[in-house]
Amino acid sequence: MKRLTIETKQKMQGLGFLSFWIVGLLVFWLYPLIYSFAMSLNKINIQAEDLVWEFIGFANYRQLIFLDTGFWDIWIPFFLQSLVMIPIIILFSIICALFLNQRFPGRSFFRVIFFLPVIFTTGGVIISLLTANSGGATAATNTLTLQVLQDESMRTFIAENFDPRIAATVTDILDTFVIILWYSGVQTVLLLAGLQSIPSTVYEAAEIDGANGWETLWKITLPGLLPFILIAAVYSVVDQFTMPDNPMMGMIRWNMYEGSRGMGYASAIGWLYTGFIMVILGLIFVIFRKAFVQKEGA
Amino acid sequence: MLQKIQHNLEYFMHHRRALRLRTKALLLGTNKEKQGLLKYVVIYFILISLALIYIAPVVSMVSTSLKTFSDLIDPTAKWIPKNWNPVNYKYAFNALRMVVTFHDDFTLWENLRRSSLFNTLSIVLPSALFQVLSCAVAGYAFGRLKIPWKNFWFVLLILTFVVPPQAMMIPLIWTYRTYGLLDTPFAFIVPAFFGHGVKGALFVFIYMQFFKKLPKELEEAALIDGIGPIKMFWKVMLPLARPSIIVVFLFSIVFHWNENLLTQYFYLGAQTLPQALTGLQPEGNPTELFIVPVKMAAGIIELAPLLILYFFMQRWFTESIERTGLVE
Repeated sequence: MKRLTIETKQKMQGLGFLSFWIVGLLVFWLYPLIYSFAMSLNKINIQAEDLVWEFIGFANYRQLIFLDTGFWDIWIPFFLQSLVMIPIIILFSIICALFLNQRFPGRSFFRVIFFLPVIFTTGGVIISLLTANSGGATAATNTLTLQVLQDESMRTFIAENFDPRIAATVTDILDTFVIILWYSGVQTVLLLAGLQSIPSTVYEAAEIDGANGWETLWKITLPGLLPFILIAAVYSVVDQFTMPDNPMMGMIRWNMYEGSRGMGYASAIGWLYTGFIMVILGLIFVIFRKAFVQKEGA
Repeated sequence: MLQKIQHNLEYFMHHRRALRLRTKALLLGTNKEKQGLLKYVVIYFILISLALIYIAPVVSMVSTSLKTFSDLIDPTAKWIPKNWNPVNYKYAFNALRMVVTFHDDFTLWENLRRSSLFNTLSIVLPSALFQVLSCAVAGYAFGRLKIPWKNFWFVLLILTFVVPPQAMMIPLIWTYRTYGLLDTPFAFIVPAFFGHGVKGALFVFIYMQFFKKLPKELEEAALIDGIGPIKMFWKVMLPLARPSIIVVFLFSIVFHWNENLLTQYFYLGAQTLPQALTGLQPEGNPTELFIVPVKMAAGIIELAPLLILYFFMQRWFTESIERTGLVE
């Protein structure tokens, strides 16, 4: 037998270690993904435990985008809400991480508190908290908002001066402001890890050059943190759009067993939704790339 | 007396400059090692206010869970209930169906599956254990080994994280049905075994970042000792990865325990804890049963095991985050 070169041998070893993951990728990700795209191009009927396929091309998408208003009615408010929420989450997690990175007694105690929402925000508890605080709740019992944000004159100002759809989004956000802050738990962890990775020698050099704390923050800490902010942004987008109480999920499930539309139509919703999320993520990457380029140019 | 004050005043006027400097040093700090009081005051003020905002809903959850109806509508009893009503917990506990009395007509498996606690545990424990190991293997390959088309696989890794499960939910349910995975914990355990499953890509990523950082000399020394690739991973690399293992294990348990999206599709015949919580329908004496306090009590019961685990592991956890660096 021909002896393998070291290079090939190493590659085979690498592939061996990765093989489990690749098998899982094909079976649990790629296969359903392609299958689902094929479904979205068909009209599918369930007959006696079997699927009956009928190829209709992009008709599902056409109906979804141009004929039915259901998709837009759910997507637009949801998108607007996320558009406001995600920057708040990122800003808040940056502030939290910056403070938790300072050296002071009791730091570990605060870290315990600020990582706590990671446990709360991923489950069903958050849903019951949200439902308990909406509808019947009065300002006195609502703890998900801050007293400052409940100011009546501000609310009437918003209601009078904005488009009703935007106004509803804004008041919704004000009502559940604390929950939005809660969603920043994982991001704070990521950014804190990022802060630790900036070498202390850079700070020492800045100090010798006579930079004060404020200048150090803008010239060293934040630029060094930029890749982590990108990761936190991507995580926030993914997290926000795959939330279990997400209105889009309900729509897909509802359409799945609905006779006239069926699984093909539901798959098309899933794909259109994925498409939008990809566009958002793409935009984030473009913005950050610009920031990176500027940093290098300066 | 008067003389003494005068003396002090003179002393003060004389040493004004020295005092001012000392006060300034105390407030603003002199150098990196000895930081000023003012900085601490600012840090504590901001962090304590943020912590209060953060904790307020949890505190209100606890207090609401102990309220009677009259306290519920009484704004003066917002934080501390006037009449403590622990019976809410009894109702919540029963409604969550964590413990189920055994029926002779059913098989053991059918009996166990009527318990939401069993359903959740049977997903959480095996999946978390498998993910800790399988994601470490994949992360090691990504972080340290030579793989053909590495960038291609890496892009796919990112995509598995980014593409929402909504896009492929339907065929996934359909194929799971034909494999007979539906309605069993294996719907979660099998993907976890292959290094995927709930947030699997994130865990592979965490491991990858960790293994990447280890010094090259480590491998060279081990190679000189004539160690094989599997032994290298098992005996050298994995024991070093303890901080990552802790982070991944805790995250995996939390994410699986709270999993409420996939279970909606995969668990139709049985209920997990979060499902039981969302569809909570407590039964009992209508004069003392009110849904909101019972729901809050149920939420606390559901999260209690995670909170206990977190408080026991938090020391390791916060330290691990610093040491893993998580991402780069």
